[in-house]
Amino acid sequence: MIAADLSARPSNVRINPGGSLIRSIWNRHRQGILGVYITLAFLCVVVHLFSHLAGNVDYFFTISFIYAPLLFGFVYLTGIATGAGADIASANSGFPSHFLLLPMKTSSMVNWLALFGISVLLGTWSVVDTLILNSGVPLLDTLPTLGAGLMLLQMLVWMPIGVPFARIPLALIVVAGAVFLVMMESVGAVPVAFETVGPAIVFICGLLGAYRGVSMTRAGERVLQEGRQVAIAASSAGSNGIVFKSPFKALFWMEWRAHGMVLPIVVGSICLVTLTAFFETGLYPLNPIARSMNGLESIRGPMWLMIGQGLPFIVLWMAACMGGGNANSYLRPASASTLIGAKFAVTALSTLLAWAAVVPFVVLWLLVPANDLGVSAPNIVLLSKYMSSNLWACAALFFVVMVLLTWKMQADNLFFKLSEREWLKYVYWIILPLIYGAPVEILVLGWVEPDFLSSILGSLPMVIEIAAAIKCVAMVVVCVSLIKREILTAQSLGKIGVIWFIAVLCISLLADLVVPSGGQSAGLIAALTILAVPAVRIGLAPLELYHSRHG
Amino acid sequence: MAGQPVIEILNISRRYSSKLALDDVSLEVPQGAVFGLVGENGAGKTTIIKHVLGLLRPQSGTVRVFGRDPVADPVGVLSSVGYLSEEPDLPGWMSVQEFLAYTRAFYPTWDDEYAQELQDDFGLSSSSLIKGLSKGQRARAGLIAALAFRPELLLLDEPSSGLDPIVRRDILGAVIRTIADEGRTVLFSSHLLTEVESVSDRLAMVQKGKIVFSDTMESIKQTHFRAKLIFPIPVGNPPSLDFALDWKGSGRDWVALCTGKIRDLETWAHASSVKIVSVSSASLDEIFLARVGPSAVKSQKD
Repeated sequence: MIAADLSARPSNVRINPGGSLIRSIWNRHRQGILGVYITLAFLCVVVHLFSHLAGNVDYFFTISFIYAPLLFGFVYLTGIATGAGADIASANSGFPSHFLLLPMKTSSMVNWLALFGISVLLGTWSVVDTLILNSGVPLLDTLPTLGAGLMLLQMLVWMPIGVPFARIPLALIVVAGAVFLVMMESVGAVPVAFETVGPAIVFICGLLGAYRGVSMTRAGERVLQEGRQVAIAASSAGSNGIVFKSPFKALFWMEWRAHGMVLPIVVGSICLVTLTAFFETGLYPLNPIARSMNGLESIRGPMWLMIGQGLPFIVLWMAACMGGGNANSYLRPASASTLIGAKFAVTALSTLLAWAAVVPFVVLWLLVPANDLGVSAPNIVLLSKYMSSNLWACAALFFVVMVLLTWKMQADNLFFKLSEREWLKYVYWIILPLIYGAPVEILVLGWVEPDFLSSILGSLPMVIEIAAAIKCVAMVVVCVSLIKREILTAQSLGKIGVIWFIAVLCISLLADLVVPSGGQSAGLIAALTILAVPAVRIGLAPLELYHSRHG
Repeated sequence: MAGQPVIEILNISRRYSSKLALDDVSLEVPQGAVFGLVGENGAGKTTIIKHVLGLLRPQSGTVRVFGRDPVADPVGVLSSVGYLSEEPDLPGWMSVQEFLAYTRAFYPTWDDEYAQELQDDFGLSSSSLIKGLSKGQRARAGLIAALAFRPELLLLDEPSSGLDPIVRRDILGAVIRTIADEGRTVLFSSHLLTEVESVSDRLAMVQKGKIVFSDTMESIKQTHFRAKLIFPIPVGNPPSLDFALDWKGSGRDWVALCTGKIRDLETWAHASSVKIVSVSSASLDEIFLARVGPSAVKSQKD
């Protein structure tokens, strides 16, 4: 592969081996890297346009809209800098294996890749902080720590650690530690001597560790090789005598082991890092963040970041990662409804566990000390001043709705993941951002043209009712297709239809009671409910599975 | 079921964008047969097998396995079909034990003792991860999953890849014969003709999406022979004869790969003053080259 990558350059141009490595990485990932930079440029324009239009806008309100794409942009670049798609749960090194056979010294190879990763990450961070975030933290204070953290991360990924999954908690500790140190540095809580010497020591240790890791990888050795044997033995001991009583249970187990834990682990990891950051902000108010939050630094920030935009975006992204088609299961004597049923069940369990992972972090956050208008107390004490019993009830309801929404987003996107139609993927990724971004787009347009906003709002009920009618027609088409292909019987579909109808009816009645009367008709509420309760895309999932399974 | 073919393919065609992968293919595999499907890479063997498994829906024509449509009734068909491909698509993160337990759940006829016996014979450790197995070991794991429920029909798509010659001969041959002896049916594709010749009792040759020749192995051997001939004068090109599939040689000395009866050759040789030096049986390699090789393609075009 690398030969193919390198052969792309003109034969009359001689570049040194390090340059060849970097050129090879660029050739492989140029589309993704360009995508990240185009997104960052777009975000920069959006932030400045927003600030210009909205005047003195809340700092965290702005950040909430760009937080998720920023985070994923950096995660992607970090992935490229550390190993480009390396399986960090694996017992093998994540160092790009196609480089290992090149006639280069290990130290030279590591130096060039480390230099590339650190330059890209730190350069991007500098630009983003200057043009978008404006955190006010001097770059020279943060860059050494971030560089040392990245070097340590590279060392961790490249080190062949014999115990599977051991790398994940170690990587989380490194990330949380780097964030912690940056926070400490930014408020001057770290001695000056340590600010200078500390990152340098960590960097050198990381670099030496990386040399050792890649050198061991080249020799086919592993750290804690005995641990690997113990882990494999322990894993197989857990599955000793394992018997599945039905194909559904076997499929559920397979889907769960292959995909189910991804969402809970990602959400839990993000919670850990976010909580670390907000624990620190609670102790040490930052400038200018603290100013913009009028002293409520540890309450509004998490609300905007975690609830506003972050989680839906993460769930949307994860939905695309949930288990797609599996050639091995297509060969098993199981019906399409059994295959898809196992997938839906795994998404449900995955969702519940992801939110179960959030709960302890929310509890911890409530206990974190914070400042509010000069009063220092745990968040729960500060919050109780603002929260009535009704608001607590709303918060609980919101939590339940978020759990349901998380499952809905995963289940709705399953058909797309199962599809093997190339054109559908392109169409979907164009349409989806437009649909989910529509409220923001309308809001921004409305800011510029208030008349436009009022006309949009005026015709919104009609648009919603038409959309609901279209959805009902689509449901009928999907049901007919499911019966025609013998995926579900008319009787089973009838039962599902009754459950769906009762859900729509109950939610409509509840919404009619809860939502303050604003002159909206029961028909509009029913139409909104029809649009909200999943049906068509869930019905498309077994159809796409059928299509992929039978060509 | 009695007398009904296990696999019945009737006039199926398949097109991948502009490429015609299968062109009006018809095939019958009777119960108890070991049916070899031979052809070059890309000839359409795997596409035929995928239709039998229901992994491809015929764009035209019909496929019936045990009298059932594999697309409409995948559970009914696949519960009686064991399948092993050249690159078994096994989940690498599973241990051998987990993989067998997972597969077992789908087949009520799974025979634990037989699975254990095969696992012991193949020397596969239960705790080994599938991604850590060699190519040959992965093929063995896939073979256990395909055999342990004692399927009525065994489909092997290029099964020899990844198995070393000794294991290939001993294990695969024994398995195929055992299953066939029990009245079970085997359809396997290969481009290794010696392997097909040693185990098959029926054969079909596939070329560019068409079945160009199909017969029992016994009949094939009886009706194909190689004749060494000496012409009275040197010839540039040997004559075009209905019974001669292929010619090799130059000048006066030529070898003809013939089909049909030796009497036809003798009659022509006598009339043309051509001397028959020797007649011997043709190998499957020679028959295959004559039927689907470059010369056959040329003569088809002509």
